[in-house]
This record gives sequence, structure tokens and C-alpha cells, in this order.
Amino acid sequence: MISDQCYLFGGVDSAFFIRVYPNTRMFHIRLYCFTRKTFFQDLESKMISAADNETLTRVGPSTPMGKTMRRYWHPICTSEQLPHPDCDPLRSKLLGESFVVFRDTQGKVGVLDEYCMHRGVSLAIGRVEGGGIRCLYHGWKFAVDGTIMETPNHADKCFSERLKAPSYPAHEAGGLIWTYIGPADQQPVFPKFPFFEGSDENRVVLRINTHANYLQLFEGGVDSSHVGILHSNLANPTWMHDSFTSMVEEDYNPGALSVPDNCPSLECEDTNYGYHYVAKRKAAQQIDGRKAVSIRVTPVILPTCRIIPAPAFQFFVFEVPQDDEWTSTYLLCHGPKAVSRNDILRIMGLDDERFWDQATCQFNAIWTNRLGQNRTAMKESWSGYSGIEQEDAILAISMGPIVDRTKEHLVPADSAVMRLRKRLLEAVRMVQKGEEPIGNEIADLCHIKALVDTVIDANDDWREQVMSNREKIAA
Amino acid sequence: MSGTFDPNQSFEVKLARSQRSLTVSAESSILDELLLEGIDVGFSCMSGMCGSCLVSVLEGVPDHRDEVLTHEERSQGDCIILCCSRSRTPVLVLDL
Repeated sequence: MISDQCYLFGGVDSAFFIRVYPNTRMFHIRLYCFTRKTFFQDLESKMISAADNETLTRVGPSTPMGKTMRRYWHPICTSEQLPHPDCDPLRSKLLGESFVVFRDTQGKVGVLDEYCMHRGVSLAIGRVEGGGIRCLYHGWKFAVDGTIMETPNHADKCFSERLKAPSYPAHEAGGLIWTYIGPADQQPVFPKFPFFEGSDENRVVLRINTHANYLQLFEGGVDSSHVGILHSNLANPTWMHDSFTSMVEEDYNPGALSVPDNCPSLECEDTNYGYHYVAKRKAAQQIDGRKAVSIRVTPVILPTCRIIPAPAFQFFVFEVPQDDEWTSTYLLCHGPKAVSRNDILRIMGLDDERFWDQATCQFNAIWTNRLGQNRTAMKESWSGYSGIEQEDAILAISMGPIVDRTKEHLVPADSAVMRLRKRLLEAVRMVQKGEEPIGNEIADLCHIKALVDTVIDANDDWREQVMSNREKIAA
Repeated sequence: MSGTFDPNQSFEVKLARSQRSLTVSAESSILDELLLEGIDVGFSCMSGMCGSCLVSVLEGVPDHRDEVLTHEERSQGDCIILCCSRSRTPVLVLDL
């Protein structure tokens, strides 16, 4: 069986292929006899192939996407996870490799290979003291830049003067600790995001470690048509009465839609940092008697970021692969005034300790209790879950660690998902050709804005509302 | 010939493998006609976006109206997205 609708029988040289169309009232079952060659040619289509799915999802050091992702800076943890000088060190995975992140006595942050260069003990159980991190095994001590400070069981000074522990550049900005783990001679400029600015109280930074490949979570973030359905509890809390209540007065509700149109039409436009797309929904009102549309624009900044609009704030979301099957979602709410961490936790559904553990940042869901779903609550709650990130993470986990995209059936509402894959594959090909991948040379990303539901004349160009997103910036 | 044939009018599609022939009217699409005839082809979005209904063209010149094929694939003219594209020649022969 190839999928629920496709069945294959046969031997080495021929095959019978049966396909059933249950959704089209066309229950034809057809038998075809193909030679082996033509059959496999038939499987070649422009839909996502098994090979493309592998390319998109595998992120280890030797993989095409792993090499591409390594040409950008990534968050490796939040500043909050290293709360003070000489605090406990942190073990963190990024793109299939293990690192230790620590804050030294002066408050400087270091990113080193997790395993001690001597004989491989984890530095994440080491001592952080006196301006460095010390391995428990033989007391070797390293500074934030990998300088070997002491080797108690090896007196030869030449050793520590000539060698360094594998270390990676680190920047602390916007409540995040960033690193670059790609080739040292290809290190790009450290890019500036809008949320680096303003006071700390105008920003909430959360990290959510989820058991799902990054692309499943990322695709959910560029999928406007699910907002009014999956997130009904926040997008339209009166859905069960067949009515629509707009929640646009909630400053930082990213599910707030101004109109109840669940079949938005999408348009994408490539930009130098990735692309942006608009979701157009039928507007309730007219403009001077002319037809109007409600538009919502989401920019995507390669390789992992999107900006989600809320009425008064913007959400910057990074889907950073820990490895092929685990993702660290960094969710930043940033705006022009103070934002309450408790409100964000509530809207995101991360205030429920059954799902998210603040101390470890781990998102917990297992099938033995149906991923924590409350079936009784589903009489009043659409999903049986509560909060936007809780719902998004559960759905990504429910797909299994890496979804088989060869089995999906895409529709026009998925066009921003298709564009995401296309742009990521383009970036991979650029790296393979020896070029710089999309957007990694842009030093300042502060001009890129998401646009919350805005009513415009149906004949007007949505791009005119977000002109700054389209600026060409010199590298 | 491709210069004079209007792709908005009806055209004939011949299926090389199954030795069948069908007519695509001005209002219909190749995919519609194939499914009405009970011919098995993959499809999904029916909007020229997803690429599920790509097949090889053996003869004739496609009039590409999809958003899937690259510029090179279009100019080679040896494949077509069935749900939205039409024909610049009176007859299109497909590898079906």
C-alpha cells in the first residue's frame, strides 16, 4: 500500500496500480500494467518528492540543509537560561550537534562543543568558575573563546598555548544568545532584528522544545487559513453558536481576525530575505461603496523566522532545529509598550504545566493520554487544547517526528507553505553552487514588518501597505 | 501552427499509452476530461499550484498556465500541468 488511496501489486518487471478517489465521488478503481521503468517515472512529479522531503528536513553537518542552515546565525538559548555570572552551564543542541553554553565570571557567554576536547566528558556537568568552565574529569578549564586555561594532569605549557577547545562565536541580543557554527571563513554579518531595540519590559522571550521536525512547525506558521479554525478558541470564541466575535481589541492576540472568512486567498512575493505573503479575507464593510478586503501580511526571514502580526505587537518566531526530530521554537513578543509575560503564557497555552515546563523549556505530550487532549472540553472548546502555541505544537507532534510530504494533498490555501519549501530548496542550491544563501548578508532586518488585519480597497495592491518589506538592501 | 491556434478554443488530447482520445472544450480542462473518462491521474489543488498533475507531453505545444514549472521546463515543452494548462496546437499527445 502506497497510501490510503493508492495500492500497488506486482513483481520485478511490472506492477498494477490502483487508485481510489474517495473525496471526489469518483470511486473508480483502475488497474494498469506498467513496466517498472514507466511506473517509477509516473511517481516523478512536481509535488514534494521523497528526496526533496529528505533535503528539507535533515539538518546534520553533512546534509544539504545542514550545510545551508550553517551559513546563518541561530539562537542557541535564551539569556534567561543563563541568568547570572558563573551560573549553571546549559546543554543545548543545534543542527544535530551538541554544545555547552555558559556565562563566565564577567558575564561573557561562551559556546563550546559539549564534550571535553580531552576525552569527551560532557562539560554541561562541569564547574563554571574563575573566568571559565572546568571539566570534572581531569580539571581541564576553558575560557569562553576556547582558550585552554589549565590542564592539571598535563604540565607542558606548549600544549595549552598551541591548542584551543572547539568554540563558536556568541552574541547576546534581544533576550537571546546567538551563535554561528558554520565554516569560520564564511561567517556572515550578525543581523539586527527589530526586537533588539527598546526596553526589556517591552519584550517577552520564550523557548519551547518540541518533538517535531522544524519544518512542520514552520509550515504551521505560514498557514493563515488554519488560524480561524484550529485557533477558534482565541480567533473566534463564539464559534459554537455559529457566530463570529472579533478579538482585535486584544493587543497581543495573534489569532485575532477581523472577519470570519476561513478561506483566505493567498499571494506570495519573493524578497531578498525570503518572501512575504498576504492572506486576503472578505471584508465586512465597503470603502466608498467599493468592494474591500481585509489583508494580513506575514514576512518569512530565512532560514527559520517569521513575523506574526497581533493588534499592537509583533511575534518573532524562530523554528530552530536541535536535530532532525526536535525543534527549539523561540517565540518573542515585542511591541511599543510593556508586555505581560503571564498574558503571553496564557494566550500561548504555556501556563499549563502539563504541557510546558518553564525550567527545562520542554513541551510534553504523549499518546498514552491522547497528547493531553480534553475531549470533554470539546463541547465548548474547538480543539480540546488551550492556547495558540499549545495547539500548534500538539498538531506538529501529532504528525510524527518527520511527516511524509509525498502523501499530502495541497490546495491554494497552502501556497505560502509551498513557497517556504521552494525558497528553502533555492537556498540549498545556492550553497551547493558556492553562492551565499538567501538573505544571509543582510545586516539590518529592522525594516521588515508584519501587517495585522487591515481593510483596503479590493482593487488596491496589498504590497503598497508593506513597502518597507520590499526594500533591496545592499549586503 | 502554434502561432495561429487560439489556446482558449477546444482542442484534442490523445493518450499515447491507452490509445484513447478526448476533446477539451473551451470551458473544460484536460484534468476535468480525464477524470470524467475515468482515467487515473494524480491531482490535488486544481489551481496550478501544487504540481500533482504533472505529465509528459509527447507531441504538441502546451499553453502553460500554472505556477509550478520553471522557465526552462516551460520552454522545453515536454511536460504539462493538467488542471489549468491548455494547448497551442489542435492536438496534444500525452504520455498517459
